[in-house]
Amino acid sequence: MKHSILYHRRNAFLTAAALAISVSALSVGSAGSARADAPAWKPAVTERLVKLPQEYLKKSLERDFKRSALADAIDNVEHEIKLKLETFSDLRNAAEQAEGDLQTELRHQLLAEKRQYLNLMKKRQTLKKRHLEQRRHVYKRVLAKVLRKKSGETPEQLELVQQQEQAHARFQRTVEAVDMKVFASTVAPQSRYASEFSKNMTAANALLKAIAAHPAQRRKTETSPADKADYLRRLVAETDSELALVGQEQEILGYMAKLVSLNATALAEEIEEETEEAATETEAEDSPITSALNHFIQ
Amino acid sequence: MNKQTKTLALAALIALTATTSTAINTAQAGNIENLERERAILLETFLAPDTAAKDRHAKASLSKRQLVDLERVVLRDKSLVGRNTPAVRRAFANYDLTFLAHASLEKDLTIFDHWLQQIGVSQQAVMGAARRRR
Repeated sequence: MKHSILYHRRNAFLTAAALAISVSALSVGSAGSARADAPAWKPAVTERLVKLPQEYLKKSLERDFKRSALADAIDNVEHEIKLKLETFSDLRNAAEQAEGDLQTELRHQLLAEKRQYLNLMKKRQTLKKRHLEQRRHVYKRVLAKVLRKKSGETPEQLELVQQQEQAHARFQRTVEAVDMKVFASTVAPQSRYASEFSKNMTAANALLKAIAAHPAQRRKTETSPADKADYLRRLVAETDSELALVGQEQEILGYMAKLVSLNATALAEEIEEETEEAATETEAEDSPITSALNHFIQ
Repeated sequence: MNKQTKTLALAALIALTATTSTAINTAQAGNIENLERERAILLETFLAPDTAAKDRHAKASLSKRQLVDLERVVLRDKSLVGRNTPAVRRAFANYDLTFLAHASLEKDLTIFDHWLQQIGVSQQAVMGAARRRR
């Protein structure tokens, strides 16, 4: 009995010390925790990615991430966390039903499991942060490439585009009048190009109407901005906000670690008090005066 | 259909679209050259001194219709937008000279009159010109 209490006491102290270290480690942050052999995701900012339509850019990057070692590591940690949560409820139920040493042992186990849970959560946050930082880096590089392409237009090119726009506008203004003069004044039928073009145009207009009326297209135009650079800026901002949430989660994890540490200290003190009480009782039992007194009274 | 098959199908579709658009762009590369050739043939028809008036009229009306189509092909060609090559730059530098058929019909002139006006030759200038040795 005495030996068991001392064993629990030592374990509880060790747990409390380890948790205290965990708390300080959590508060320091994960800057130094990145290792060379850690699971990684290294997406390449290819020309294909830059040219990809904006609605496919995000999906393509996510698909690439899901195939990486980093995604596998996050999945594994999340699975372990899920299992750990199940263990918590099992241990808590068992501890509520148990008594005496077994209860102390189960409480100690629950604290140890909590410490492991916190470590897993920290690992998950480190991996998630790495993923988000990498994603932000990719978006920023794609954005830089898009902006470089945009600003790469020379004054000559800009002038040419302007001339082409003016030519097209002038053509659109006069196309019907030209049709009337060329094709209505002569007995010859329309050229093959003209008739095929008008047929194709009718078909294309019908398709464009169907595309515009499609629910998926409506959703896309409602959510995504027209400009690719704006879309990329929005993706960077979204990733930044996700990173801010990870930071907030780290803070919560720190509080959780503090609480577990306090619980461990409380358990250690409780066991210590029990040990002292038991020792006093033993000492009282062994006191020669008391035994003598009993003898005297009897 | 599992995920991998779906991805492959999507990749094949994107590849097919890319191939088709490349093929179209390649085919459209000579649109400006075709227009220039047809315009040169029409102007040559107008300027040929030994052609009979009836033949000239028949050839010119055929060429004019062809020219209208070719001008529209160039004006509707999206692959030419921003293509900074000498041919494209020259073509869009002067609408009135490049798109002769449309510009002349817009101004209600014959193609030849419009062309002469654009290069600075007026009827008065021709009539008032003196015949002399250089």
